[in-house]
Amino acid sequence: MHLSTVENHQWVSRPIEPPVMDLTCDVLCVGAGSAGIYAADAAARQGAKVILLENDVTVGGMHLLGEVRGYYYGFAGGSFAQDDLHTPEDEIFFLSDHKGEKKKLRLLHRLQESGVTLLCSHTPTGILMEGRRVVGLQVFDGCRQIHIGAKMTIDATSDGHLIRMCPVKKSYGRAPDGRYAPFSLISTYIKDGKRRRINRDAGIVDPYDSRDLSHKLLLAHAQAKEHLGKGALFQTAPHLGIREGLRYESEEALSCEKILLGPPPEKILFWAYSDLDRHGHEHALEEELFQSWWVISNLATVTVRIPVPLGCVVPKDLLGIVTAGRCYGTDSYAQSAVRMNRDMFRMGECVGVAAAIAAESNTSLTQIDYAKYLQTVTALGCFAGDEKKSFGFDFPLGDRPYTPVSFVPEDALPRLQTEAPGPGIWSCFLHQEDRALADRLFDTMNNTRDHLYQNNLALALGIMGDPRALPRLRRIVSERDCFSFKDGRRSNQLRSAAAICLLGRLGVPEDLPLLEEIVFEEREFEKALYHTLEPNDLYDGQGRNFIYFDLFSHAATALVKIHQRHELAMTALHQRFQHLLDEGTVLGRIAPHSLPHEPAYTESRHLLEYVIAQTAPKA
Amino acid sequence: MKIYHTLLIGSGHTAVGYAIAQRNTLICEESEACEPAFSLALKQYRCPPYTPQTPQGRALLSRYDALGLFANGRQNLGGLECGLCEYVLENGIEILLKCRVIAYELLPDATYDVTLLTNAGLEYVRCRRLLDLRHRNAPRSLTILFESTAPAIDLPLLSSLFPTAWVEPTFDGGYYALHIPASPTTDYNQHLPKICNRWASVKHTAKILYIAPRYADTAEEAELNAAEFGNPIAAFEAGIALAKAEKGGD
Repeated sequence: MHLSTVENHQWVSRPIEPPVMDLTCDVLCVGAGSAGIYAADAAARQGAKVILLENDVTVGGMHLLGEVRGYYYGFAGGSFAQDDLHTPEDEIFFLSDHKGEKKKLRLLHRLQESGVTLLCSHTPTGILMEGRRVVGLQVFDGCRQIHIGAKMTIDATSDGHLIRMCPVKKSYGRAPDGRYAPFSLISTYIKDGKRRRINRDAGIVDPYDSRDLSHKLLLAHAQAKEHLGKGALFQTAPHLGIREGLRYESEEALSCEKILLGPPPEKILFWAYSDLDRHGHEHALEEELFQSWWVISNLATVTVRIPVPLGCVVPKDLLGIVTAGRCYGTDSYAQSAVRMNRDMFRMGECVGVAAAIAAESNTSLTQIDYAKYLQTVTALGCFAGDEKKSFGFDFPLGDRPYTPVSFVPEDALPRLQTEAPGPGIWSCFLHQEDRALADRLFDTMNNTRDHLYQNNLALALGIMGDPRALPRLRRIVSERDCFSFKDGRRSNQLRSAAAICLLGRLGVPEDLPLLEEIVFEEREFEKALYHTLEPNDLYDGQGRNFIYFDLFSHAATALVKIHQRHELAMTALHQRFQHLLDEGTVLGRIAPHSLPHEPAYTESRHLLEYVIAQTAPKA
Repeated sequence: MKIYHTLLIGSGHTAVGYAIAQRNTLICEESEACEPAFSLALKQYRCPPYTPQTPQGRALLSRYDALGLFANGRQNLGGLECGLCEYVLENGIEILLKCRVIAYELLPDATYDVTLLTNAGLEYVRCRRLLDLRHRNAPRSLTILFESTAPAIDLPLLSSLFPTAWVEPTFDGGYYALHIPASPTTDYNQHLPKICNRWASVKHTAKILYIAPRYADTAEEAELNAAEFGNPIAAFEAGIALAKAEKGGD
């Protein structure tokens, strides 16, 4: 037997004498958050003996202790729906809906009813393995280390703390630079008799670096003082709103490409529902497919019914351990789309059922009787039976009905004549091999006098990779303004930013002066487009002039891409970026009201550091 | 490996006061808060009068006054967390949050080899002195924030339902806190349903707004138990005094 753990940031594994187990069970679930509670409960209701460990004093995770309550997204379906129902017993609570203290009681009652053994203030310190099979955990119970044996272990810690102790390949952050999505800290106050929350992005943190985590927590709490005096009650959430942690190599992965382009998998664990959520404005640093969807096609708020493969919660070549929650086998973009509250409840329930079946049959999750699994989760309401992959614009406030979106050219291309051309642009991306379509777009662009239509056609042609879009794209960039598309209810992208992004893909060395003007020209910031909007609209939640940041960041990365693609010498470019960083004026323009340690400033600084690194001489 | 003079287990105003007086101190706190007793456990809203005795205490009080954390004898518990975090950052005090001390060993050179469990995994530090500021065996209380539209009726009713508890106003608008005593070994998750059942057993207008996710200690002894002070400045200066007393003995 081996004990695997993480010591001083390194994965280590040592042979040990098999310990005497203090406790044993069929399913050992770690993490009593959104997914873990329903995983443990579901496994127990399938007849498994279940132990649920939780690091904190009580249950709830992000949903309750993180105060993520107004953001109740994901798709309906599953046992959690019963816990959301209002009953007379709820009248003792100030907020009698699916949120708050009522939910905490419901969850505790659910676990008690299903016979789950709940152990709070218990934290795993190591994984017990026999070969490639996880057979239990070493756990600190607050006083001493104990050992718990299990046929199947579920890592529902969100941040993959058990997975970190496993011999499986892991990845952190987004591909270009390893950075995570911003975390949030929710502040609560009462005003006019209502409990109100402010959910603000509080910066970027490495959740696996204890010093960085502590420092960022202190910063976030300190910055929350801006909310003092807003109302009668003031509190910050007891639990940090981390959105993104590690991912790992699984038996079958989910990805941005599969969500947007691929067919459903053969064995579906459950169906999720979300947009490809992405916080911050660092889209210039994202991967190309995501930029095509989010920036150029402006489809940030399009929701997708996502078939999540069964194998994505099974670490590759490992037995006896699976995950439930936002840590699973995926890329950074898909991970942001499969973490909504209700989806996590349902994911947990489905993993719990699968884990119980696997424990009983002594098989891997991927080898369970899938028909039996499907029948069970369908009876629980987790599957409706008629799900299919679909796209649409959703309006959570209910002020407008859900609107399906079609990317079939006949349906989508007419939108290129509007201020909401997103589906039309994306349709062209999907048909980028269709040269006849490209020719049609080009001819129309040359023959129409509709300025808006011309610009949209240029973007459509550009996303197809057609260099005939370049003259019009250059004109958009030259004339740059603060016009943004109107497809979504929020996160609408600047047309100028989309055009600059495409210049980065298609541009040639002759385009460099145009981009350099945006990045290096002293008088660029005097242009009206950076100052036209009212301050409330101009500055993002962190205090960044988002128009300037968007255009600057896309132009800076476009410069790098053109240099790289055409193998141009980058010494001068590197020095110019370095000068910008050292001199600081640009950062002051982007975040004029921020202090150097605050997120708006540090994240803007990170952009410059990124392009400096990209243009640095290779060793 | 860096050797800390002191490793404090448990954060709060006492710990920070100690750390400002005794540099080269590391504070290890298992929660995500710098001041968990006030901001997470909602220890008490009433602020006992206290006159700072030290320049650091006076400076901290000025800072808190500037933030408007004290009014009408009451203190803003969430605001205390903001203020203390800001103070910690400005003064470079080392603190590890989400950190548990899981083992320690006294070495031949009279230093401690301490095993920490953090979000990073297992980490190891060395220190000359190990001080536990938690109060594991102390009596505790659970705080429930509630709203009442008829306090003249509700408060006596709740007092009869929870005869050992005490009630205090929190903020304007009919919001109160009920502090229910509990033994050191009470299980929070089993205690909660019983409290709610009792709350619902009598008809009244009081509605539960929030139940603190952990207990607050209520011991009243001085020195090492100084963190139970209801006044955070008093707790802070108790930490300073503790550090100075140890220096005198070193």
